Parts: sequence; structure tokens; C-alpha cells
Amino acid sequence: MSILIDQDTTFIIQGITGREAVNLTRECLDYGSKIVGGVTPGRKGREVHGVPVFDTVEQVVEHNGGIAPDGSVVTVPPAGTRDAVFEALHAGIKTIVIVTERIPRRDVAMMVELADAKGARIIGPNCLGVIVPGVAKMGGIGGPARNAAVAYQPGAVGVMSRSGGMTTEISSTLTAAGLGVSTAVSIGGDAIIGSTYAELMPYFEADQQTQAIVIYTEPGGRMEAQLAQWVKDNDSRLPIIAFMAGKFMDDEEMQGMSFGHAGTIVEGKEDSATEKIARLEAAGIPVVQRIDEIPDLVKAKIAERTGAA
Amino acid sequence: MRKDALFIAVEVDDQAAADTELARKLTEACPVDIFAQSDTGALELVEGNLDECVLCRLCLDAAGGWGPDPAVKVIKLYDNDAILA
Repeated sequence: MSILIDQDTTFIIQGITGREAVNLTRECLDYGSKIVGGVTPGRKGREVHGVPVFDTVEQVVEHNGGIAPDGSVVTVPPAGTRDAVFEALHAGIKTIVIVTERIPRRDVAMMVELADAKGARIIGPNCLGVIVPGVAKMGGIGGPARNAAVAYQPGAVGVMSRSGGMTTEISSTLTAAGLGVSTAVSIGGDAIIGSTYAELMPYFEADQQTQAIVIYTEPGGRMEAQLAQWVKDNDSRLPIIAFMAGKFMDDEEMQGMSFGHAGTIVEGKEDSATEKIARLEAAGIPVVQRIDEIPDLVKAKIAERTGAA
Repeated sequence: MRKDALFIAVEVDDQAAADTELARKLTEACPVDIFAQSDTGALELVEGNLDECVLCRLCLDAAGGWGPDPAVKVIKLYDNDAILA
């Protein structure tokens, strides 16, 4: 089992002839993912690592016998991202990973609204995608297949992270500790994203392989408050452990220090690291500040839930 | 009062805007400082910050809910002026 993608998931790469897209196409194919086409307007007839390139998503669907692929990885530049995502949604694609960052906020809001209306799910923007260890990956998450195979081993822990790099760092730690990963999702570091922790929790809840969740979080935004509320409102079977970076930003001398992600802008009282830690812990979500604390805590929480402690 | 930017507009009914306690709550709640208080404590909308909105709905919570005629409305200019709910 897994969430969002599995061994049968087919997807396309929009903007496939760009440098990063060419690399992630290779990485995904090597990992076993099923890429059925790529789209770059004006480049129909070319191939990227054996993947046929088309001018439009509609042409991919036609080539596919009228069947829309399950997903799309969108790598087109910010000015064209909204049109690309709209094109994918109108073609009937239901899972869209947006890698591009610095997309205008208005465009992101429009994409999220349309995805909701179409019953589709957006992961990102400004993310590295989704990986189901040993099965498939959709996006650059984990890097080249041989590296991803080392960092991500199949296991019991679902990972959600606002940082693409930290998704792999945490998953690698879980793998080294023998816990492994069920599905890891790089949810994106922008201020508005398509899927928050709370919105993905029901997927993990339904996935019997997943026995615990680890999230990576940062100052800024309201997602942790939403997750805390979700935990209070739902009798989840899954223990959640949070790894919080950026507590140093609450020190008086460090105020105004910026993280790299656009979503880490801290202006209000609710979104400082200290407030978030208090809010998560009040909801029964323990928060660690060192990555090496995660595995033992996950093991203890799983044992608690299964009555093995 | 109402102020428009490229992405959203914010509208607050005049009675609510004069409520200094509500003004304080909104000023405190908004993560991107769309709301401020004047010297008299009345509510002000900071036009330059409107497009920083992250659609977090904290202002709607602070204003006491999303009923049929809420005191604070976030208007989605990108979605045919639909009201954020």
C-alpha cells in the first residue's frame, strides 16, 4: 500500500525539455516510474530518455488511447505554470506535482481552486514530489535512483515535509534505524500550497502500511495549527512526531532572520516556532529539535499504540 | 471600508471597523499585517500588504465566523469576486 501513487501510476512531465526536467525524467524512469509522455509546446516529435514529447497534454491523452495519465509533474517556469496546471486539470489529470517555485500567489490560489473543483490534488508548488520506496517516485525527490534506493527503504513511517531536502534527510534516518518509509511527500515550502499536513492525513490514515507519521516543519504559516486541530477532531490511529527547525528565530537577537522558503515568513504570534511547538504538543504531537531523536521516539510511539510497550 | 489589491480585496463593515477590540484581534491575528490600528485604536487596512495574503482565514476566525453576512470579508478577485469562506 501507499498514498497518492503506486506501481501502476502513469504520469507526464510538463516542461520535459528543460534541464531539471530532463534530469528528473531520468531519475524517475530509473526508479521504475511510468512516464507516458512529456509536454513542451513546439517540441512535438522529440524524445527525452525515450519518453515521447508532445505540444499539449491533449496530444498525450490522444496518444494514450484517450485515457488521461494519472498524474503530471509540472516543471515549467513561473509565468507559464498556471496555464500548464489548468491544461492538465482540464485534461482530467488528478494528481499534480508542481516543482516550480516563485509562482505568483494569485496563480497558486487559482490552481488550488480549480483542482478542488475538479476533484484533483496538487502537491507543491516549490516541492520535490512523492516517493513510495522501492515502487515509484514522482518528481526529483531522493535524487538519482541509486541514491533514492539508499535513503528510502520500504517501511512503516509516512513522511511529510515542507523542505524537499529534509524529506530525504528524515527518510534516510528512518531507513538507517530500520523503520523505513511507507510514502514520503515533499509538500512544498511556499506560503500557499495544494496539500497541507492535515489534508494528507486521511490518506495516511487509510494506508495500512503506515504506522506512524513524521513531519518536518518550520516557522511561518498556519499548517501546524490545522494539523493540531485535525488531530483533536479525529481519533487517528497514527502517532505523529514533528521535527521543528528554526527555534533560534524566536531569540531576540535573531528576529528578522529569514529561512529560504517563502512560507517561513513570520509576522504573527501564531506562527513562531515556540507557539507552534506549544500548539503541536497540546495536541499530543511530540516535537523534537534534533533529527537523531526521531527514530527512538517513533519506535516508542508505535509500541505504545500497538500495546507492545 | 474596503481596499483592493491584485489578488484579493478586504472589506470590513463600518461598525466592526470602529470596534477597537476587534481591530486589536485582527491586527494580532493576521500573519502578514493586512490589519493595523490607528492612534485611536480604530481599524485600518494596509493596502501594501493585501497581496501578501496567504488565505489562512485567521482574520475570519478573529472576526467571529463566516456567517451569511460576516463583519470581515476576503474577496477573491481571482475567482469572480467570490467570498473566502
